[in-house]
Amino acid sequence: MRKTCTAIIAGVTVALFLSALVAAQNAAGQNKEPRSPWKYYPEDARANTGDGGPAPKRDLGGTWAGESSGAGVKRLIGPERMPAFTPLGKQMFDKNKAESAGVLIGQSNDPHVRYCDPFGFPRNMNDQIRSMTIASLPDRTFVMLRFMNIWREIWMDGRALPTNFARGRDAHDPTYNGYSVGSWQDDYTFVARTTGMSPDTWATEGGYPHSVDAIVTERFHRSTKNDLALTMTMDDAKLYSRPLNLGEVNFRWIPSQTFFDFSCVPSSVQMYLKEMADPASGGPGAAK
Amino acid sequence: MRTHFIVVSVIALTCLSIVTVDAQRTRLPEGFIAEGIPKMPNPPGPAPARDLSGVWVGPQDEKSDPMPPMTPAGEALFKQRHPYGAASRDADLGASNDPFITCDPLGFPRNLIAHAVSGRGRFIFANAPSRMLIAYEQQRVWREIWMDGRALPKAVDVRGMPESRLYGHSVGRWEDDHTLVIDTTGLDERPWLDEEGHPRSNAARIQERYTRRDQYNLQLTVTVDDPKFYSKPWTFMRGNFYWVLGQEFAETFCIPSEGIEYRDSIARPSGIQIK
Repeated sequence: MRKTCTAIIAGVTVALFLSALVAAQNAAGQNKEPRSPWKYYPEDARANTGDGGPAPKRDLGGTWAGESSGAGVKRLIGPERMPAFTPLGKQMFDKNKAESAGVLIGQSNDPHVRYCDPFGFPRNMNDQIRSMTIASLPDRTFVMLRFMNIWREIWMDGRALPTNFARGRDAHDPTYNGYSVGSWQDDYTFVARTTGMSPDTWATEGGYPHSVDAIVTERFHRSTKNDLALTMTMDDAKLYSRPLNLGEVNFRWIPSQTFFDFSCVPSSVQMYLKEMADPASGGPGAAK
Repeated sequence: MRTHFIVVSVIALTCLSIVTVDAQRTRLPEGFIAEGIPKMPNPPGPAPARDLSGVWVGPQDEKSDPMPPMTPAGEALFKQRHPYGAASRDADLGASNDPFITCDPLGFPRNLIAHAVSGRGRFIFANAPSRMLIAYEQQRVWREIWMDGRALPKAVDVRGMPESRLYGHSVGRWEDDHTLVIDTTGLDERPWLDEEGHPRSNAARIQERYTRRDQYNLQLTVTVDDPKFYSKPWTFMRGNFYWVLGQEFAETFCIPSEGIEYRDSIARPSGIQIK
């Protein structure tokens, strides 16, 4: 019996030693793997510590790493938890069954979770905002979001925001990204205002509603070469009795300027819901 | 009396037209609606050097060369695909499994084929560090074209190499002052090459040549080289894009929930077979 126990202990020790040896060899092999300029390496982005120098003036151009990018970005501050809803706002909010509120996917009526519908603005700036690329032309700035490869444009030609979204000759159609105008408040702060977002979309992952007349103000502040902070507030008198703080999202400059692709593919989501999520949640279809 | 009536009517109509014109002249535009598009200079001016800036619409006069024979692998994959257009015309052709029915991403180069009801698509070029960006009206998607001289990835979806992408990995260069050449590879194989469901592999090399002929005309030629599925390269698309003076985009999305609702409430009950 004693000899048997000794043999077992020896065998386990050898096995542990061999597995550690293999793991060390694998790690060494990966470190020697050549870097591809086409790949995003979060560890390289994390290693880019410090401010990188002063921020260039009136320049947000380039690719930025955001929340959950693995780049060591400061955690985002979410929207305020106790919005001052109007009765109509509360009524609309209560209808939205958000997965983030603990609702099972099969019971959620979040159009993005159920169908991969576009987030729309402002949700696309505070949900799955792992990376974005900003580019500017003389008359507008583009915000190119990595999630779902969707872009927004912010006009800088002095035009006014539209105000008419009802019927009529000059009425504008509500859109998923709304209508945006922007300007430089100072050399490091770019302010954009957006209205006309389709009320079919949610303002946040948690299901805060918005009307078509809501006006969302974004403040992009570049404090250093490597640091960009975005704060957003929403003014929507129909649904909120005071402006709603939508939180703060922080970004870090990516030295390689590359990020991986990630998207929501509707047919894949439909397959997942049919085969896994809906059966697991007790029934098909989403709550209406 | 009759003459008097005619004179009064003419004066009234004249006054009405003056009031209407005056009202239009003094009405303040609300920013996002173009107040009429002025005439373009005709003939157009010369093409600026190394400059594709602006919003372009097209393709117009779209043509393509005959598709070459597919390899056995290409044929096998093509047989599994049933385009929606054919399924809607003839139920005997079987169920359509076009991924665009559920608004799956079109991918490249299918997104170049105008997919809107109007048969037109717009795009714009912008710049970022070491890159050009192309933003498309169709689905509001964008691509990045690296202009820093890097080589295309030799492979994708293998260790040490990048993952395939819906819109591929692209590099670009100026061949001369008026021709931008873009090469793309590393495409995700799920999207179809075209409306008919032809395949393309992740090793396909697709080249776009943008030649600015003058101030307002941009010629695009797209060639596909995919030895895995096709016996030889061919010109996939040739067309002209026109500079849009109004420089505005519409927001054009395929909304999955609407696509699925249409499929389930209209298309299928009407007898169109869809998988």
